[in-house]
Amino acid sequence: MDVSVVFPSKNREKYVRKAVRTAFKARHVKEVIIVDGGSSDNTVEVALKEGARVIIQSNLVYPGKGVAMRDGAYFSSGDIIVFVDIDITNLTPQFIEKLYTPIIRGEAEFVKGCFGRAAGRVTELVAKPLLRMFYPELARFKQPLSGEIAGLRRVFYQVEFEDGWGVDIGLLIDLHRKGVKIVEEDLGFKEHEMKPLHALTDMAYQVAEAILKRAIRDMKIDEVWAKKYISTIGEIDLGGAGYA
Amino acid sequence: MRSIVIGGGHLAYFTVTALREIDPKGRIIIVEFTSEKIEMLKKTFPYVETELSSVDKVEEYITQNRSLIDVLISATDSDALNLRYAKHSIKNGVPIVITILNNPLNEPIFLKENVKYIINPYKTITSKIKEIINKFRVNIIYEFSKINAGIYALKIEDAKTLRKVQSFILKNDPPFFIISIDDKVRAGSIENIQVGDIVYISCLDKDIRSILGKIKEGGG
Repeated sequence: MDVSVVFPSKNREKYVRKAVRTAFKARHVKEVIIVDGGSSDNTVEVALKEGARVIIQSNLVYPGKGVAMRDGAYFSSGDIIVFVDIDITNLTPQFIEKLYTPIIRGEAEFVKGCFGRAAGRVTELVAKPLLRMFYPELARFKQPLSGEIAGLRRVFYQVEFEDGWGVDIGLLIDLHRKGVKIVEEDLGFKEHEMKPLHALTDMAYQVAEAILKRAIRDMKIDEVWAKKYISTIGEIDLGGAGYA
Repeated sequence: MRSIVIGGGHLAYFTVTALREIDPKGRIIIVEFTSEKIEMLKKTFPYVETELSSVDKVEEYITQNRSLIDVLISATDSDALNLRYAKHSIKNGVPIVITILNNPLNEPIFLKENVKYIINPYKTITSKIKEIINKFRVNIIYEFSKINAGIYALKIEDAKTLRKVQSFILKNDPPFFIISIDDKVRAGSIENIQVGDIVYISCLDKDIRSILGKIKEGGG
């Protein structure tokens, strides 16, 4: 089985060389793809020099993580697609291999990475409570928002990608709904840049929206009430400069 | 002519309209991934044929039908898919392969992959903005791809520019028309050109450079 490793990226010149080289060292990896979100630094040039395939995200929306992941999935040609954050400073080939090994062994079709640290703030305060409410069967995941994932290519093509931060939780719920075999794999310790608290507001909103949208679709909550509720979240004045 | 359009979003609407105008009797087949869009397309364009496909089956469809396809236009909302399908079509000998970009920044990547016919809907933004704001004396409105000529918008800023432009038109007789400062079209006669107008001239690019050079040099 061939593996494609996809790194969504924007202005990550200082990480890209190491990320691409590390990914190529992992077994079964046939291609490394950088989906660039319109970098103004030399991310693209460095990536090409290192032998990565590069595509610019189709739609430069912010945050466009989901758009980048969708483009990466469509651009790839491996049997297995692995998505990894580019800013992991302790990235190793083994880290990447761990993500797709359960698929190669036939134990899973989709793997969610988790780490040996406490889950993030949006995970604990937004994703997990909402999952417990509407998808209790998914509450077992330690880090349901983890961006380190791997899956069979055909599996990714069965579902739609949210544009922004809701993409990871959206994929988890939708793939679970499709009956895809999912496992969570402990990847050890991950060192990367933490987002400041104010930057998490949009993320929290989009994660909540992605879960509630699916809860409506799956008739777990009343559509009229929920749509009214969801549409007013963005109108609430949070009174802080952090809401952007 | 048998044309295949991949993607049934907003790009497809413009594409299908153009194909219909070019060849009213031609066959147009839209390959789309969602049944909802297929239904909408059938209502909007009753003359098109539709094909519901999954993302991964399109290449197979192209391979199977390659000898029957005259034109393939890849117009999905993902440039990753557009590049994939364009490359596959070229490899399979489809005579004309056109792709419509979602993100203009992808143009060099497509060119590098030997995709020759790329439509970049954003390409005119720069010249249109310059044209509207009128900051520059001359704007390229359209450049022909195979000859060094185009349609240029020339702002008549003063009497000297007016004389030079009139003299050029008199000597070379290029097609031109005039837009006045209040956005009215004035008849294309050199006597009608006034200071403040914009003259749209179709000529060789060396000629437009020559006019600009003469204006810069000064003198009557």
